Amino acid sequence: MGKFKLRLLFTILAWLCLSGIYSQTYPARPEPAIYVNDLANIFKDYERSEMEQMLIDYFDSTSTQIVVVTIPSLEGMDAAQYSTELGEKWGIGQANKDNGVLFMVAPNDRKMYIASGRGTEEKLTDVFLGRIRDNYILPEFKSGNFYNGVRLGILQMMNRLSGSFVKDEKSSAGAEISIFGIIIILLIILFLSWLFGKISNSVNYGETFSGRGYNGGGFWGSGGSWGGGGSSWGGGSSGGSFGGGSFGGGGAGGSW
Amino acid sequence: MKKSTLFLILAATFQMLITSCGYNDMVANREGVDKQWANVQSAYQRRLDLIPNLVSTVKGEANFEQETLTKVVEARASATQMKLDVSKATPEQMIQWQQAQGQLGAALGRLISISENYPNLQANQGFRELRDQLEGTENRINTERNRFNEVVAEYNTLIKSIPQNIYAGWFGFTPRTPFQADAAAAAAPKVDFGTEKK
Repeated sequence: MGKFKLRLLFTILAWLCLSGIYSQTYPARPEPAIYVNDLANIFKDYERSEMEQMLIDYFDSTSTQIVVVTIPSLEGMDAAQYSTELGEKWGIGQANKDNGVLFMVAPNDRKMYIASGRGTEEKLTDVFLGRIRDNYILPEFKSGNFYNGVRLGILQMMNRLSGSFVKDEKSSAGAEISIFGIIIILLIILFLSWLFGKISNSVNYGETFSGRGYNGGGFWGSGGSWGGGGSSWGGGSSGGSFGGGSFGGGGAGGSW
Repeated sequence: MKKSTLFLILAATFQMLITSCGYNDMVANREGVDKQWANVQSAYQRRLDLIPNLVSTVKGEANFEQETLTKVVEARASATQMKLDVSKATPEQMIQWQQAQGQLGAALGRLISISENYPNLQANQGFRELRDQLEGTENRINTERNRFNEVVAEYNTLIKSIPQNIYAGWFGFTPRTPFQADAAAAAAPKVDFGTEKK
């Protein structure tokens, strides 16, 4: 009895060691990745989808993840700290390259900040980001044109980063998919052998065949759609996931 | 008697093996702390490296308040002198080191806030760039310090909890000192690095 209690205590302590304390003030990480998180609703629908597509395409060709987050208010938090922590928590960019950028806009506070992932700091220096803030972003923001400001800023960053990062053909995500694929193929083989076993064991050959065949078709259909999802994770048409990139606090921001 | 001692040793060994926070975890956690300390130091070093440029730029402004400038130079000198071996540092040494850095931060904050009164300086592209770099650096320092405190808290909890507290000391796992809330920085006027005044 006493021993059991002690064991329970140890287990609880071990859990305490492992579990981190999670802050609730940050929006939840979108899965799969969303590149334009317009929580403050400052973009029009078509602007949002246009920018989303631009950023997905950019990710597809470079593996670099530039993410826009708009929140109504920082609620007293420091813009730089908020952006850095959010980028880190979401893990924007690839883990081995840290090639993530977070563009934060808080319209009610009239504050913005661009946090550069550790891997992008070399090109996107504080000075460079300060310059595009002064020359491209804030002038647009001042006239209320958020979309243009964010877009111009992003284009400047893409321009600056061009050639820095290339798509990693043997990415870890790809490896996961191939293992996944193998499992799926095995499952399909198992299913087929089970199906054929059923068929050969069946007395009424024709009826079972048509019945099972239809179900089989249903299975293949869902398999096909799963395959579509799978290829998008691997970097097909959608934007994948945030890869665990890290942020060290670099960036520039300001208010308008 | 002898049997119960043996049982105790066996039980302790077993516990070490089965808990997720065994010896290997202590090693990994300590490595994490040391690695994070290197990040903290490089962020502070970055600030130290920025100051000579900042000082010479501000000196170009003929009538700039000399006292503020002198304080920055002095604070930088004392922060540069201070060397700290974090693996052996006592809490007092850690606080001293922090105070030196905190004073530098406060002096810099004052310099930046006073610079708002000098339109020439505000219009100076070089100064604006330095200010952006300084802001980024302060944010880097905060980020790395917070992460250092997180990994230190994790490590300290690990070595102080049962059963690690029994044997952590045998292998030289001693508690580390986290950063305290910065008294000097807290007392300093909060600097808004806002860019509305250009």
